[in-house]
Amino acid sequence: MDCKQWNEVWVAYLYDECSAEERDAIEAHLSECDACREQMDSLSVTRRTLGSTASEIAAPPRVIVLPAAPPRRASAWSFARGFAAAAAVFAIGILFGMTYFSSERVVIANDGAVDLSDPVATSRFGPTSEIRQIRNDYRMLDDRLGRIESSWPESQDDTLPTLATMERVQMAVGNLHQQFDRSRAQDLQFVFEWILTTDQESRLRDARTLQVLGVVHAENNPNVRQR
Amino acid sequence: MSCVTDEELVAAVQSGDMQSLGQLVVRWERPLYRFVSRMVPRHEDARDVCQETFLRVLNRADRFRRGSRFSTWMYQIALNLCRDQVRRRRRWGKIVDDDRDAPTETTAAPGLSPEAGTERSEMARAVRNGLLEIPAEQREVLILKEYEGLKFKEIAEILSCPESTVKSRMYYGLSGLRSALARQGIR
Repeated sequence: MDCKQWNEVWVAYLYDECSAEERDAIEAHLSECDACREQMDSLSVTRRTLGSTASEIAAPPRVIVLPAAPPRRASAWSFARGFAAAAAVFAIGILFGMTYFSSERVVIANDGAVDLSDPVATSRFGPTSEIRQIRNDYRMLDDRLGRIESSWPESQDDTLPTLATMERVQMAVGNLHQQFDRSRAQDLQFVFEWILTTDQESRLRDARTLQVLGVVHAENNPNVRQR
Repeated sequence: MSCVTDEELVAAVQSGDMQSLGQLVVRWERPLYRFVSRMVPRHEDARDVCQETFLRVLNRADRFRRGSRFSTWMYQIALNLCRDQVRRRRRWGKIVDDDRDAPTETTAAPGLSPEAGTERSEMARAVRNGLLEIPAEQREVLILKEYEGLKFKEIAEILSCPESTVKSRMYYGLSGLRSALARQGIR
Protein backbone atom coordinates (compact mmCIF):
# COMPACT_ATOMS: atom_id res chain seq x y z
CA MET A 1 0.00 0.00 0.00
CA ASP A 2 1.20 3.49 -0.85
CA CYS A 3 2.19 5.28 2.35
CA LYS A 4 0.42 8.47 1.23
CA GLN A 5 -2.88 6.63 1.31
CA TRP A 6 -2.48 6.25 5.06
CA ASN A 7 -2.93 9.93 5.83
CA GLU A 8 -6.53 9.65 6.96
CA VAL A 9 -5.81 6.50 8.90
CA TRP A 10 -2.85 8.10 10.69
CA VAL A 11 -5.02 10.69 12.40
CA ALA A 12 -7.69 8.12 13.23
CA TYR A 13 -4.95 6.03 14.85
CA LEU A 14 -3.48 9.08 16.55
CA TYR A 15 -6.83 9.90 18.17
CA ASP A 16 -7.75 6.29 18.81
CA GLU A 17 -10.73 6.37 16.48
CA CYS A 18 -9.89 3.50 14.21
CA SER A 19 -11.17 -0.03 14.15
CA ALA A 20 -9.21 -2.97 15.55
CA GLU A 21 -8.41 -4.14 12.02
CA GLU A 22 -7.11 -0.75 11.04
CA ARG A 23 -5.03 -0.57 14.19
CA ASP A 24 -3.41 -3.92 13.49
CA ALA A 25 -2.70 -2.94 9.89
CA ILE A 26 -1.19 0.40 10.91
CA GLU A 27 1.03 -1.10 13.57
CA ALA A 28 2.21 -3.78 11.18
CA HIS A 29 3.05 -1.12 8.63
CA LEU A 30 4.82 1.09 11.17
CA SER A 31 7.03 -1.80 12.19
CA GLU A 32 8.23 -2.07 8.60
CA CYS A 33 8.30 1.51 7.36
CA ASP A 34 10.79 3.92 8.96
CA ALA A 35 9.45 6.94 7.05
CA CYS A 36 5.89 6.40 8.28
CA ARG A 37 7.10 5.76 11.82
CA GLU A 38 8.96 9.02 11.74
CA GLN A 39 5.91 10.75 10.30
CA MET A 40 3.69 9.31 13.02
CA ASP A 41 6.12 10.41 15.74
CA SER A 42 6.16 13.88 14.28
CA LEU A 43 2.35 14.10 14.20
CA SER A 44 2.22 12.84 17.73
CA VAL A 45 4.63 15.53 18.96
CA THR A 46 2.67 18.26 17.18
CA ARG A 47 -0.52 16.96 18.69
CA ARG A 48 0.99 17.05 22.19
CA THR A 49 2.24 20.59 21.62
CA LEU A 50 -1.18 21.65 20.47
CA GLY A 51 -2.85 19.93 23.41
CA SER A 52 -0.45 21.52 25.89
CA THR A 53 -2.01 24.92 25.19
CA ALA A 54 -5.56 23.73 25.72
CA SER A 55 -5.99 25.63 28.97
CA GLU A 56 -4.62 28.91 27.66
CA ILE A 57 -8.00 30.53 27.24
CA ALA A 58 -9.65 32.40 30.04
CA ALA A 59 -13.10 31.57 31.26
CA PRO A 60 -15.77 33.72 29.69
CA PRO A 61 -17.88 36.17 31.67
CA ARG A 62 -20.74 34.20 33.17
CA VAL A 63 -24.01 34.88 31.45
CA ILE A 64 -27.33 33.14 31.37
CA VAL A 65 -30.64 33.89 29.80
CA LEU A 66 -33.34 34.15 32.41
CA PRO A 67 -37.11 34.31 31.98
CA ALA A 68 -38.10 37.35 30.08
CA ALA A 69 -41.09 38.44 28.11
CA PRO A 70 -42.70 35.54 26.24
CA PRO A 71 -42.16 35.42 22.50
CA ARG A 72 -44.22 38.11 20.86
CA ARG A 73 -46.79 36.92 18.40
CA ALA A 74 -48.41 39.08 15.79
CA SER A 75 -51.98 39.85 16.79
CA ALA A 76 -54.76 42.12 15.63
CA TRP A 77 -53.88 44.44 18.49
CA SER A 78 -50.23 44.64 17.42
CA PHE A 79 -51.28 45.45 13.86
CA ALA A 80 -53.61 48.12 15.19
CA ARG A 81 -50.80 49.57 17.28
CA GLY A 82 -48.50 49.55 14.27
CA PHE A 83 -51.10 51.25 12.16
CA ALA A 84 -51.72 53.87 14.84
CA ALA A 85 -47.99 54.51 15.13
CA ALA A 86 -47.66 54.92 11.37
CA ALA A 87 -50.62 57.29 11.33
CA ALA A 88 -49.09 59.33 14.14
CA VAL A 89 -45.78 59.53 12.33
CA PHE A 90 -47.56 60.63 9.16
CA ALA A 91 -49.47 63.31 11.06
CA ILE A 92 -46.24 64.56 12.62
CA GLY A 93 -44.69 64.73 9.16
CA ILE A 94 -47.61 66.74 7.81
CA LEU A 95 -47.56 69.12 10.78
CA PHE A 96 -43.83 69.53 10.51
CA GLY A 97 -44.02 70.30 6.80
CA MET A 98 -46.87 72.78 7.22
CA THR A 99 -45.09 74.59 10.03
CA TYR A 100 -41.80 74.49 8.28
CA PHE A 101 -43.08 76.07 5.09
CA SER A 102 -45.38 78.64 6.60
CA SER A 103 -44.54 82.10 5.25
CA GLU A 104 -43.48 83.34 8.67
CA ARG A 105 -40.85 80.68 9.21
CA VAL A 106 -39.01 80.85 5.90
CA VAL A 107 -36.56 83.55 6.86
CA ILE A 108 -33.73 84.35 4.50
CA ALA A 109 -30.40 85.59 5.83
CA ASN A 110 -29.35 87.98 3.10
CA ASP A 111 -25.86 88.51 4.40
CA GLY A 112 -24.95 84.88 3.88
CA ALA A 113 -24.23 84.26 7.56
CA VAL A 114 -25.93 81.39 9.33
CA ASP A 115 -29.02 82.68 11.03
CA LEU A 116 -29.61 80.64 14.19
CA SER A 117 -33.25 81.60 14.17
CA ASP A 118 -33.56 80.19 10.68
CA PRO A 119 -35.09 76.72 10.82
CA VAL A 120 -33.49 75.91 7.47
CA ALA A 121 -30.00 76.92 8.49
CA THR A 122 -30.25 75.09 11.80
CA SER A 123 -32.30 72.15 10.56
CA ARG A 124 -30.98 68.72 11.56
CA PHE A 125 -33.03 66.95 8.95
CA GLY A 126 -31.54 65.53 5.85
CA PRO A 127 -29.35 66.84 3.09
CA THR A 128 -28.84 70.51 3.78
CA SER A 129 -27.98 71.17 0.15
CA GLU A 130 -31.47 70.14 -0.98
CA ILE A 131 -33.15 72.25 1.65
CA ARG A 132 -30.96 75.20 0.77
CA GLN A 133 -31.88 74.76 -2.89
CA ILE A 134 -35.56 74.87 -1.99
CA ARG A 135 -34.93 77.95 0.10
CA ASN A 136 -33.10 79.65 -2.77
CA ASP A 137 -35.87 78.76 -5.20
CA TYR A 138 -38.38 80.22 -2.83
CA ARG A 139 -36.33 83.38 -2.41
CA MET A 140 -36.03 83.75 -6.17
CA LEU A 141 -39.76 83.35 -6.67
CA ASP A 142 -40.50 85.68 -3.83
CA ASP A 143 -38.27 88.35 -5.39
CA ARG A 144 -39.90 87.83 -8.74
CA LEU A 145 -43.38 88.27 -7.30
CA GLY A 146 -42.20 91.40 -5.54
CA ARG A 147 -40.90 92.83 -8.78
CA ILE A 148 -44.14 92.07 -10.57
CA GLU A 149 -46.16 93.72 -7.84
CA SER A 150 -43.92 96.79 -7.68
CA SER A 151 -43.91 97.25 -11.46
CA TRP A 152 -47.69 97.18 -11.71
CA PRO A 153 -48.64 100.81 -10.78
CA GLU A 154 -45.60 102.28 -12.59
CA SER A 155 -46.30 100.71 -15.93
CA GLN A 156 -50.05 101.21 -15.87
CA ASP A 157 -50.24 104.75 -14.33
CA ASP A 158 -53.89 105.57 -13.94
CA THR A 159 -55.11 103.20 -16.61
CA LEU A 160 -56.42 99.69 -16.16
CA PRO A 161 -53.85 96.86 -16.63
CA THR A 162 -53.85 95.32 -20.06
CA LEU A 163 -55.05 91.80 -20.60
CA ALA A 164 -51.51 90.64 -21.46
CA THR A 165 -50.10 92.06 -18.21
CA MET A 166 -52.78 90.37 -16.17
CA GLU A 167 -52.17 87.05 -17.89
CA ARG A 168 -48.42 87.41 -17.31
CA VAL A 169 -48.93 88.08 -13.63
CA GLN A 170 -51.40 85.22 -13.26
CA MET A 171 -48.98 82.88 -14.99
CA ALA A 172 -46.11 83.97 -12.76
CA VAL A 173 -48.18 83.51 -9.64
CA GLY A 174 -49.40 80.14 -10.89
CA ASN A 175 -45.82 79.04 -11.53
CA LEU A 176 -44.80 80.23 -8.13
CA HIS A 177 -47.52 78.20 -6.46
CA GLN A 178 -46.67 75.12 -8.48
CA GLN A 179 -42.99 75.32 -7.61
CA PHE A 180 -43.81 75.96 -4.01
CA ASP A 181 -46.16 72.95 -3.89
CA ARG A 182 -43.57 70.74 -5.54
CA SER A 183 -40.90 71.80 -3.09
CA ARG A 184 -43.21 71.24 -0.18
CA ALA A 185 -44.25 67.81 -1.44
CA GLN A 186 -40.64 66.76 -1.89
CA ASP A 187 -39.71 67.95 1.53
CA LEU A 188 -42.70 66.31 3.16
CA GLN A 189 -41.84 63.05 1.47
CA PHE A 190 -38.27 63.28 2.65
CA VAL A 191 -39.23 64.11 6.22
CA PHE A 192 -41.82 61.36 6.28
CA GLU A 193 -39.37 58.75 4.99
CA TRP A 194 -36.74 59.90 7.43
CA ILE A 195 -39.09 59.57 10.37
CA LEU A 196 -40.29 56.15 9.24
CA THR A 197 -36.74 54.91 8.76
CA THR A 198 -35.66 56.22 12.12
CA ASP A 199 -38.69 54.71 13.77
CA GLN A 200 -38.01 51.34 12.18
CA GLU A 201 -34.34 51.36 13.17
CA SER A 202 -35.28 52.40 16.66
CA ARG A 203 -37.71 49.50 16.97
CA LEU A 204 -35.07 47.03 15.80
CA ARG A 205 -32.56 48.40 18.28
CA ASP A 206 -35.12 48.24 21.07
CA ALA A 207 -35.97 44.64 20.28
CA ARG A 208 -32.29 43.69 20.21
CA THR A 209 -31.60 45.53 23.45
CA LEU A 210 -34.48 43.72 25.14
CA GLN A 211 -33.04 40.40 24.07
CA VAL A 212 -29.59 41.28 25.28
CA LEU A 213 -30.96 42.56 28.55
CA GLY A 214 -32.56 39.18 29.05
CA VAL A 215 -29.06 37.77 29.39
CA VAL A 216 -28.08 38.39 32.99
CA HIS A 217 -25.81 36.87 35.55
CA ALA A 218 -27.03 33.79 37.33
CA GLU A 219 -24.17 31.75 38.65
CA ASN A 220 -26.00 30.34 41.62
CA ASN A 221 -28.70 28.48 39.83
CA PRO A 222 -28.75 25.15 41.67
CA ASN A 223 -30.62 23.40 38.85
CA VAL A 224 -27.91 24.01 36.35
CA ARG A 225 -25.12 21.58 35.66
CA GLN A 226 -21.85 23.22 34.65
CA ARG A 227 -19.61 21.47 32.14
CA MET B 1 -29.14 17.71 40.08
CA SER B 2 -31.02 18.00 36.84
CA CYS B 3 -30.31 15.43 34.15
CA VAL B 4 -32.29 17.07 31.42
CA THR B 5 -30.57 16.67 28.06
CA ASP B 6 -29.60 19.56 25.86
CA GLU B 7 -32.12 18.49 23.27
CA GLU B 8 -34.93 18.48 25.85
CA LEU B 9 -33.92 21.96 26.87
CA VAL B 10 -34.08 23.15 23.27
CA ALA B 11 -37.54 21.64 22.99
CA ALA B 12 -38.51 23.65 26.06
CA VAL B 13 -37.04 26.79 24.51
CA GLN B 14 -39.14 26.13 21.43
CA SER B 15 -42.21 26.37 23.63
CA GLY B 16 -41.01 29.67 25.09
CA ASP B 17 -39.29 28.47 28.27
CA MET B 18 -36.48 30.99 28.75
CA GLN B 19 -35.23 29.25 31.89
CA SER B 20 -34.19 26.32 29.72
CA LEU B 21 -32.19 28.60 27.50
CA GLY B 22 -30.47 29.86 30.62
CA GLN B 23 -29.46 26.31 31.47
CA LEU B 24 -28.14 25.73 27.99
CA VAL B 25 -26.07 28.90 28.24
CA VAL B 26 -24.56 27.87 31.56
CA ARG B 27 -23.72 24.42 30.22
CA TRP B 28 -22.17 25.60 27.00
CA GLU B 29 -20.81 29.11 27.50
CA ARG B 30 -17.34 27.93 28.49
CA PRO B 31 -16.79 25.36 25.72
CA LEU B 32 -18.28 27.77 23.23
CA TYR B 33 -16.10 30.64 24.37
CA ARG B 34 -13.00 28.46 24.24
CA PHE B 35 -13.82 27.41 20.71
CA VAL B 36 -14.73 30.89 19.49
CA SER B 37 -11.67 32.45 21.11
CA ARG B 38 -9.47 30.25 19.01
CA MET B 39 -11.36 30.93 15.84
CA VAL B 40 -11.66 34.68 16.44
CA PRO B 41 -8.58 35.80 18.32
CA ARG B 42 -9.90 39.20 19.37
CA HIS B 43 -11.39 38.96 22.81
CA GLU B 44 -14.21 41.41 22.18
CA ASP B 45 -15.11 39.70 18.89
CA ALA B 46 -15.21 36.34 20.64
CA ARG B 47 -17.60 37.71 23.24
CA ASP B 48 -19.82 39.17 20.53
CA VAL B 49 -19.88 35.91 18.63
CA CYS B 50 -20.81 33.95 21.77
CA GLN B 51 -23.57 36.40 22.57
CA GLU B 52 -24.87 36.26 19.02
CA THR B 53 -24.73 32.46 19.00
CA PHE B 54 -27.03 32.20 21.99
CA LEU B 55 -29.33 34.84 20.58
CA ARG B 56 -29.61 32.79 17.40
CA VAL B 57 -30.28 29.67 19.43
CA LEU B 58 -33.10 31.61 21.02
CA ASN B 59 -34.45 33.09 17.81
CA ARG B 60 -34.09 29.98 15.69
CA ALA B 61 -34.98 27.31 18.21
CA ASP B 62 -37.91 26.30 16.03
CA ARG B 63 -35.44 25.30 13.28
CA PHE B 64 -33.69 22.76 15.49
CA ARG B 65 -34.42 19.36 14.01
CA ARG B 66 -35.62 16.59 16.25
CA GLY B 67 -32.99 13.87 16.49
CA SER B 68 -30.09 16.30 16.01
CA ARG B 69 -27.53 17.07 18.68
CA PHE B 70 -27.71 20.50 20.23
CA SER B 71 -23.93 20.84 20.43
CA THR B 72 -23.56 20.14 16.72
CA TRP B 73 -26.17 22.74 15.88
CA MET B 74 -24.66 25.29 18.25
CA TYR B 75 -21.13 24.77 16.88
CA GLN B 76 -22.49 25.17 13.35
CA ILE B 77 -24.05 28.51 14.29
CA ALA B 78 -20.91 29.67 16.06
CA LEU B 79 -18.66 28.55 13.23
CA ASN B 80 -20.67 30.47 10.66
CA LEU B 81 -20.59 33.55 12.86
CA CYS B 82 -16.83 33.19 13.30
CA ARG B 83 -16.38 32.97 9.53
CA ASP B 84 -18.55 36.05 9.08
CA GLN B 85 -16.56 37.89 11.70
CA VAL B 86 -13.23 37.03 10.10
CA ARG B 87 -14.55 38.03 6.68
CA ARG B 88 -15.79 41.32 8.08
CA ARG B 89 -12.45 42.01 9.72
CA ARG B 90 -10.61 41.36 6.50
CA ARG B 91 -13.03 43.44 4.49
CA TRP B 92 -12.41 46.37 6.76
CA GLY B 93 -8.67 46.04 6.40
CA LYS B 94 -8.03 44.22 9.62
CA ILE B 95 -5.49 41.67 8.47
CA VAL B 96 -4.74 38.55 10.39
CA ASP B 97 -1.43 40.06 11.40
CA ASP B 98 -3.32 42.47 13.60
CA ASP B 99 -4.50 39.59 15.69
CA ARG B 100 -1.14 37.98 16.14
CA ASP B 101 0.60 38.49 19.38
CA ALA B 102 -2.53 40.19 20.66
CA PRO B 103 -2.69 39.86 24.42
CA THR B 104 -5.32 37.36 25.37
CA GLU B 105 -6.62 36.62 28.78
CA THR B 106 -5.19 33.32 29.86
CA THR B 107 -5.79 31.20 32.83
CA ALA B 108 -3.18 31.35 35.50
CA ALA B 109 -1.02 28.28 35.74
CA PRO B 110 -0.86 27.39 39.42
CA GLY B 111 2.37 25.91 40.69
CA LEU B 112 4.50 27.05 37.79
CA SER B 113 7.69 29.01 38.29
CA PRO B 114 7.91 32.39 36.52
CA GLU B 115 10.29 30.89 33.96
CA ALA B 116 8.01 27.95 33.29
CA GLY B 117 5.04 30.29 33.07
CA THR B 118 6.86 32.44 30.53
CA GLU B 119 7.86 29.42 28.50
CA ARG B 120 4.31 28.19 28.51
CA SER B 121 3.00 31.58 27.37
CA GLU B 122 5.56 31.64 24.57
CA MET B 123 4.47 28.20 23.49
CA ALA B 124 0.82 29.23 23.55
CA ARG B 125 1.62 32.27 21.44
CA ALA B 126 3.62 30.19 18.96
CA VAL B 127 0.76 27.71 18.63
CA ARG B 128 -1.74 30.54 18.21
CA ASN B 129 0.36 32.10 15.47
CA GLY B 130 0.95 28.70 13.90
CA LEU B 131 -2.78 28.05 13.77
CA LEU B 132 -3.25 31.36 11.97
CA GLU B 133 -0.78 30.26 9.32
CA ILE B 134 -2.66 27.15 8.22
CA PRO B 135 -5.81 27.29 6.05
CA ALA B 136 -8.99 28.13 7.93
CA GLU B 137 -10.68 24.83 7.04
CA GLN B 138 -7.80 22.91 8.61
CA ARG B 139 -7.69 25.23 11.61
CA GLU B 140 -11.39 24.62 12.27
CA VAL B 141 -10.84 20.86 12.34
CA LEU B 142 -7.80 21.08 14.59
CA ILE B 143 -9.59 23.29 17.09
CA LEU B 144 -12.76 21.21 17.16
CA LYS B 145 -10.77 18.02 17.52
CA GLU B 146 -7.95 18.93 19.86
CA TYR B 147 -9.54 21.59 22.03
CA GLU B 148 -13.19 20.62 21.97
CA GLY B 149 -12.52 16.90 21.97
CA LEU B 150 -15.14 16.09 19.37
CA LYS B 151 -15.18 12.88 17.38
CA PHE B 152 -14.36 13.01 13.69
CA LYS B 153 -17.94 12.05 12.95
CA GLU B 154 -19.28 14.97 14.97
CA ILE B 155 -16.91 17.39 13.26
CA ALA B 156 -18.07 16.07 9.91
CA GLU B 157 -21.65 16.85 10.91
CA ILE B 158 -20.76 20.35 12.02
CA LEU B 159 -18.83 21.07 8.84
CA SER B 160 -21.31 19.22 6.64
CA CYS B 161 -18.62 17.23 4.90
CA PRO B 162 -17.53 13.56 4.76
CA GLU B 163 -15.59 12.14 7.69
CA SER B 164 -12.71 11.29 5.37
CA THR B 165 -12.43 14.97 4.46
CA VAL B 166 -12.22 15.88 8.13
CA LYS B 167 -9.44 13.37 8.71
CA SER B 168 -7.58 14.59 5.67
CA ARG B 169 -7.82 18.20 6.87
CA MET B 170 -6.66 17.06 10.28
CA TYR B 171 -3.61 15.40 8.79
CA TYR B 172 -2.62 18.37 6.65
CA GLY B 173 -3.47 20.77 9.47
CA LEU B 174 -1.14 18.98 11.88
CA SER B 175 1.57 18.85 9.25
CA GLY B 176 1.13 22.56 8.50
CA LEU B 177 1.20 23.43 12.15
CA ARG B 178 4.37 21.42 12.63
CA SER B 179 6.05 23.40 9.84
CA ALA B 180 4.77 26.70 11.27
CA LEU B 181 6.11 25.83 14.72
CA ALA B 182 9.44 24.81 13.21
CA ARG B 183 9.68 28.23 11.56
CA GLN B 184 9.27 29.74 15.00
CA GLY B 185 12.07 27.59 16.35
CA ILE B 186 9.87 25.04 18.11
CA ARG B 187 10.56 21.40 17.38
